[in-house]
Parts: sequence; structure tokens; C-alpha cells
Amino acid sequence: MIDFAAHTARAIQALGSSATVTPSGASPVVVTGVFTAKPDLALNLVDGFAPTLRLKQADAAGLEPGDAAQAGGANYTIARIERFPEAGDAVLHLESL
Amino acid sequence: MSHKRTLIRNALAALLTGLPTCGGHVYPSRLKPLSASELPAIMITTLGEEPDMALMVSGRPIRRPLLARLDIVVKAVNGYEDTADAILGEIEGALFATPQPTLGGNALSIRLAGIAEPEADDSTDKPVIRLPVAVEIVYTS
Repeated sequence: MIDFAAHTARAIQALGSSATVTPSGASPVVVTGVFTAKPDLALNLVDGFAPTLRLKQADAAGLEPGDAAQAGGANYTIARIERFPEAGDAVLHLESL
Repeated sequence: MSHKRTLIRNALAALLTGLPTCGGHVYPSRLKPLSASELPAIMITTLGEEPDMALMVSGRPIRRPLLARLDIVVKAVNGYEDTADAILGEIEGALFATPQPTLGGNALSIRLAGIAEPEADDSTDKPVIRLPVAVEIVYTS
């Protein structure tokens, strides 16, 4: 059986960079994640970008929306989290402070 | 000579430019996306009109009620709806001052025709809200 989570972990380790996440009530944790900031339009009218941080499932385990994250040189709040247990990762959708 | 619709749209932009919250971020006939440095903003679009056909007699002025849409656009982490409401108040103060503006001598009257439901989008780095405001400007041609 293919261990997708192991493949995902290797990909994140290879492609990712250092980021910091802070679960509510806990100390900041340095993790490796793949940060992207795809250009996007809100309401088809306002320029912006959609920042996301992809982490290994274990690194995202204690996180909840509203927690803090630092990636790509900027500080964010986690707006929502998509978890993919079979693939072994989670995508944090971030909002600028 | 410009059509009165153009004159009215430009006069609206001039009237609303310099309000406390949006300052110079007033954009008539804008299709291009807005960047962060251009917000908060008021976008002005002139819409349709239904002239009083019964009074369309050759040689006489036609009374034309022109609808204009003012889109208030705000991008902020917090308080975006409060900011949009504040801008709405500033617009109302400018449009319905005493004496009421004539938009360069082109408008017979201006009235608030409606405020639509705000649209919100939080898919990008900060939430964006758009509050559409409709005003009816009566002019003659």
C-alpha cells in the first residue's frame, strides 16, 4: 500500500520553507510549510492575493481558525483549515493582519 | 458638447471627491480592478433612464430620471461594514446638503433610490465589502 502521507511529508520538506504557527494558548512552533500567495480578485473587482500555507498533518494538528501564523515574511491569522488525512497534509487559508 | 449624462457623472465625481474617508478615491466609469492603494473607494456608474414618453414633444424639454449607482468599496480586516456605513453617511451629506447640489446646473433633483444588500468576499488576504447605493437624478434635455 502506498504511504501517501510519507510522500507528502517529503514533498513539503523539499519544497517548503520555515514558517511559524502559534496554536491558541501555546508557544509559537517553527515548522516547514509550502507558502503560496496566488494573485486573486475579490468580488471580481479588488486586487489581492490568496495566501495559503500547506503543512504536514502533524504540524497542523493543534491549529484552529483564529490562530496566528507567520510565513513569507508576513504575519497572518488562520481563516480556515482544510485537512486531508489520507494525503497527510493540511492547507491553512490565511488572512493578513 | 458632452451629453448631460457625462456632465452629471463627472459632476457627481467632483462632488464626492475629498470626502473624509475616501478622499480622492472616487472613480467614474471604472472597469479596471482596484488596488489596495486605491481603497476605500466610491465607484460611479450611470445606469438606465426611462424618460416620460407622454411629454416627448418636439421642441420641448424632456424630463429624464437618470439612475446612478455609487458602489462603496472597502477592504479591511475589521470594521469594514462600519466604514462602508460611514462613507454612505458622507455621501448622503454631500448629495442632500442644503441647498441641494445641482451637479453643475444639470440636475433638477437628486433622491436616494435605494441601498442594495452589501456583497462581501473573504477569499483574499483581507475581506472586501461592496455597498451599492442607487440615486435618481432628474434632468432635462
